Amino acid sequence: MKALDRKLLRDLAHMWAQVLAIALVMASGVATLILAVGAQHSLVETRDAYYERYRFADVFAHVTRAPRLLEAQILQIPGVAAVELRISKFALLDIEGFVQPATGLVLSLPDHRESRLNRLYMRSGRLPEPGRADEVVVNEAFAEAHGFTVGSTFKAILNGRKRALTIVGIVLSPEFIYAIGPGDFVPDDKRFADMWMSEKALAALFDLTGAFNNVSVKLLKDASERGVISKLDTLLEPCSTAMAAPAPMAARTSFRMLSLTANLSSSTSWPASFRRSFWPSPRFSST
Amino acid sequence: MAEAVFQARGVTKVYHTGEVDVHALRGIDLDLFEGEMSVLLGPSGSGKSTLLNILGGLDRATAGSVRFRDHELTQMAERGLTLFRRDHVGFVFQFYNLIPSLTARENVALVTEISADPMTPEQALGIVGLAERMDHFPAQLSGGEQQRVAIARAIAKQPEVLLCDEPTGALDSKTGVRVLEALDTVNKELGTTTAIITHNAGIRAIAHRVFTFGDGRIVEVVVNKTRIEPSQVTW
Repeated sequence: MKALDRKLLRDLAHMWAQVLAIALVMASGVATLILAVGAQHSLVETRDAYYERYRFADVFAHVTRAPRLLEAQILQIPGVAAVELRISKFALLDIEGFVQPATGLVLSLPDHRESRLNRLYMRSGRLPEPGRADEVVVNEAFAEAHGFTVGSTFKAILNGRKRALTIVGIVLSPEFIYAIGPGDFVPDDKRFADMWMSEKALAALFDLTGAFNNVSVKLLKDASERGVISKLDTLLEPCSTAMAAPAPMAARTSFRMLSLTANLSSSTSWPASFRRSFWPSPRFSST
Repeated sequence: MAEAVFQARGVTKVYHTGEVDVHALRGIDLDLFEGEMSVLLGPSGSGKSTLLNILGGLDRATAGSVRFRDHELTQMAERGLTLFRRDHVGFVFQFYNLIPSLTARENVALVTEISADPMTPEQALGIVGLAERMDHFPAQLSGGEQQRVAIARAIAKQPEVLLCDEPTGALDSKTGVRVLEALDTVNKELGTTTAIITHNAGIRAIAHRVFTFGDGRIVEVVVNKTRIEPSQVTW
């Protein structure tokens, strides 16, 4: 053994306490990194599994009004696996004891079949009865923010008419991980709600029977997202107010996706400064 | 007459410190001859260490010429000076600079492991009289013994020149004499050209040649017709 190697070993043995401390600090850093990266991967996998299980759509488009006859033509676009036509409208909410203005996004649910896309996870209660204009299901965060349970009521102005609505179910949706109101930058669960109502009832309220104003599309594996969006835009152009967009841009999952990206960045850069990563509670993982 | 190993001509060294120029050397002419032991004598600040550092390739002259045999040191690039130091020069300083976690033998082995044609650590330590203490750590050795380990380390690569800057400066008279004996042995047995800096006038008598410095100049060169043994030196 060379003299310098001997020096190294003896110095390490002499400073064993410091060496041990440094090793423990480094091990802590590495462990933090591994935990952070592992948690990141776990969250991403859980999210992807959730989206897959609940048929989260890949492409969303909004139109002013379009006939449901277009469904067959949309299905014929190469790369499209499934289509869901919906009615999507905003409503002003009148909640007893809550003085601030609140709004909600009301979406239609098919009356006699399960949703093909963007399925709901029932936390409690049931789905609205077909044709019932006084029954809604709401997102869990909104219900929790106001202390609502199944059977609670509130009022909403739908197409200019105030209606009493009864909450018959509380749900989670892959489409709305965070409920962010129009014009807001951060979620405010007290002032914004996601609601679902019978398609027949909602169509009658907004004079959209036989029509839709929102379309979501599931793509085949390896399908060209750009190609489908382009063809969908062409098809919907006569009745569109906005171009079709891929899921992260269209849905309010983007806030969560941004958060996951930030977590990945944190997990790889912060351990160097021994910062513990903070993870938002993975609410969707409970599914 | 022996061949001159070093030839310094008109060597000056100026340190620029702010607006003040400090003239450490003011035109030095000096020859160190092969196999000779030279003593560079003078008060602190007279330029002895500056000249030794220039001769050893640790520093550069501001002006003048310094030749080592056929090599002009003032013209050498940094790499050339590094090779010159590695191949030809051994240094001994006032403070021993030994590695505390290595034994005397291992401290010397640090050099022998990377030298082209070294003697063994045991041989080097034997020459300075430390054959019995080679497995001791520096903390187990006296100051004089540590300095002798430093000398063994310097000579282990068999340099042509040994440059010593105040090798007895930190030692008392008795242990200093042991160090001088070691240097004398190296000079006699290996024929290593040796230059010793000291401000201790008593040491001059062991040298072949004595250069006395004052204010950046050599004020006197004395060739000793007779030399005394280091054991006869006292201070």
